[in-house]
Amino acid sequence: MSELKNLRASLEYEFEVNYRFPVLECIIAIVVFVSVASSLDLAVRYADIIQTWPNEPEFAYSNMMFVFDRVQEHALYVFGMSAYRVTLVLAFLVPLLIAYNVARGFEEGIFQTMLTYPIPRRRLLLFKTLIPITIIGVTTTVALVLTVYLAIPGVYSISALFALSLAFWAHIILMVSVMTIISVFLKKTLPSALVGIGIWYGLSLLLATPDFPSGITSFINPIILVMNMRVYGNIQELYSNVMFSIIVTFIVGLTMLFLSYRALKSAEV
Amino acid sequence: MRIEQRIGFLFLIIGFSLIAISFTGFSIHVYGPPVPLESDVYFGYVFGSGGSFLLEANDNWNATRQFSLYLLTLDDTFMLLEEQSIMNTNPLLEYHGISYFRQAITEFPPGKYGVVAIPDDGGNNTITMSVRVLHPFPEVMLTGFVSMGIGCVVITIFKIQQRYRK
Repeated sequence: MSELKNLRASLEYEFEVNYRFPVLECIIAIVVFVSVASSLDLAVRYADIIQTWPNEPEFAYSNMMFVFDRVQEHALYVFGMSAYRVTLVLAFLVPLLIAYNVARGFEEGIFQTMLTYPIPRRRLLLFKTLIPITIIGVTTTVALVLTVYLAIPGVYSISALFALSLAFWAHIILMVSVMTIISVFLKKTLPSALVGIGIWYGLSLLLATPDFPSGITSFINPIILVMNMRVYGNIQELYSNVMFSIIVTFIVGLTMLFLSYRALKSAEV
Repeated sequence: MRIEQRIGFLFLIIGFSLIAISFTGFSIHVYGPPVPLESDVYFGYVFGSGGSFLLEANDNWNATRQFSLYLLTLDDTFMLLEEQSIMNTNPLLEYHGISYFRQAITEFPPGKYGVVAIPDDGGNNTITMSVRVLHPFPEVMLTGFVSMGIGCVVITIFKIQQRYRK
């Protein structure tokens, strides 16, 4: 019971100090803005899928049916591409957030003060990593699912949407865990934020280049696989590819989170 | 700041951002290549709309040439393509004997529509069309207002509670 009380106290501390008004509200507003605006922008562009019509009149009807059979695929594409655009914004947001929460703790002696209380070191880091993952993940997933259903009415494969959401979550976990390790090692807010932004923004630029090895791309940001959806032309194939990458990214992300907890345990505060 | 007040402000901020999104001018031009039917007699697009849209049609080669314009549901567009005739369809809007068309269409819900033009003289089809989605997106704006309303109600209830406590 007292353990639960302590956990609640730590959670309240995070919300009152690090995520005080309007920091949390602004993060949610930015994520909602990018998710909804991007998915609306993509959803109403049917031009791309209509381009596949051949010009023979006798095939027009059958081809139109084929095109609208692919509406489901288009909805998944919108979901994935919007999630990818959100990750581009997160390449700035997550490094700033983690550097502000973790590296500032070393720089301003907050950890030093907090460790005078009987709080385990891993709990100090627990909420600093879990809160951004949960807030960004839940907000983006809910905003994207609602907007895609609003803009492209129809019945989609829930399992494919679930897979794409998982891909997004895996990428956030990887981002947050890498940033936590950087912040624990550098222990300075500004350098940590700059290094993090450099790494994630540089990676997102590199990943978008066609010559970059696709194997590495799919493990760093599995959502990029969605951009190749039309090459696959088959949701099942996409699903199996995405699932493999997601599992690997999840394992790498969680391992790095564990490593960051270990790093804090041995770090000099 | 208490949690109830923060929840109220959160709804208020999300509402603001949704209203801002409904007005943002992203490059939402919905174009499609022509649907070639009956030796270029029918000419049209199928497009998805998130709300209101601006429909434009004219003949670039001959500005005085007259044509008929039909706005159809997706099912009716399928029927038109299947039967190669507009006879058994029930157009949402139809205009006859026009040489230029430009109108904002606001009364239909989000969905997929077909727009088809037929030249009155039955000759080669040289009509050009464009469909542009208009702002604000009504559904997004409405959701934004609802979110802001919830935020205002939560903050007001909190303030009334605080006054009673005092």
